[in-house]
Amino acid sequence: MTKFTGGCLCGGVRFVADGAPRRVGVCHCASCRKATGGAFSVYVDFVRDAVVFDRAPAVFRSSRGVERLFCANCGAALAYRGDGSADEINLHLGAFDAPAAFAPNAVSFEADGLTWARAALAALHLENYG
Amino acid sequence: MTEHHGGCLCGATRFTFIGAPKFVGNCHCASCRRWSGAAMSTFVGGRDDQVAWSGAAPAVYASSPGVERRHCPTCGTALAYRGEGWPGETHLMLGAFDDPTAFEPAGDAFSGEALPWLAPGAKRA
Repeated sequence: MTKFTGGCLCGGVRFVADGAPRRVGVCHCASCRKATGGAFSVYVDFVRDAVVFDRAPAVFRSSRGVERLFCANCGAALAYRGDGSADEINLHLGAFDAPAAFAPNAVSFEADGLTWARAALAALHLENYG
Repeated sequence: MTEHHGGCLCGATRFTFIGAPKFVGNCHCASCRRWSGAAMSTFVGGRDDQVAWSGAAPAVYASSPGVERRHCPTCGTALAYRGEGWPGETHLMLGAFDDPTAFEPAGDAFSGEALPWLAPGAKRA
């Protein structure tokens, strides 16, 4: 089975994700913008059981039913877990050792997106999700 | 002088950016990508004296010699980059601003490391 590895910037937290992701989704919401600092987030979504961390990342509950996982040492954003999708873990694309292995195929909160960011991704014709 | 405010997700750390930025641009380098988690990072850059921090001091991580990356230790929000390649400057993450629509990137750095699906579409100088 394919395995995808990744982790934070300092190497303190590493993960292995087994098998193919369910989706690779862009999120344009303001909370994800703050969490990454970027214009938009990109998540690689796996079934929770498919992802194993070698060390427990720090967790912040950014809103009701939402957990954001990060490395407390270097600040790297690792993942999102939502009660609304309790069987999934959404790993930040940048956390992967080989992020170019994934291309986005879905988008959410597009209406909240920055105009130039939406334009930059328009050619991908992403399917709306969530 | 214009002021733009921002801070982390949990509100512990806040900043005020005073005046016009020196630049607003995307960085496609692997280090920024790993740190922010985002496919590309967008920075609003200015002199150190254009940035006033308040609230809790951000955590500082020296990701490589001469580079410091600042984040909130409570919520993990990536806030700023400072590097000896840009002495006297603080580069704030666009997403950390309360109103990120106030800025638009004018160019791209480290385009050679860009993810393939971003390279043609990202705003170019």
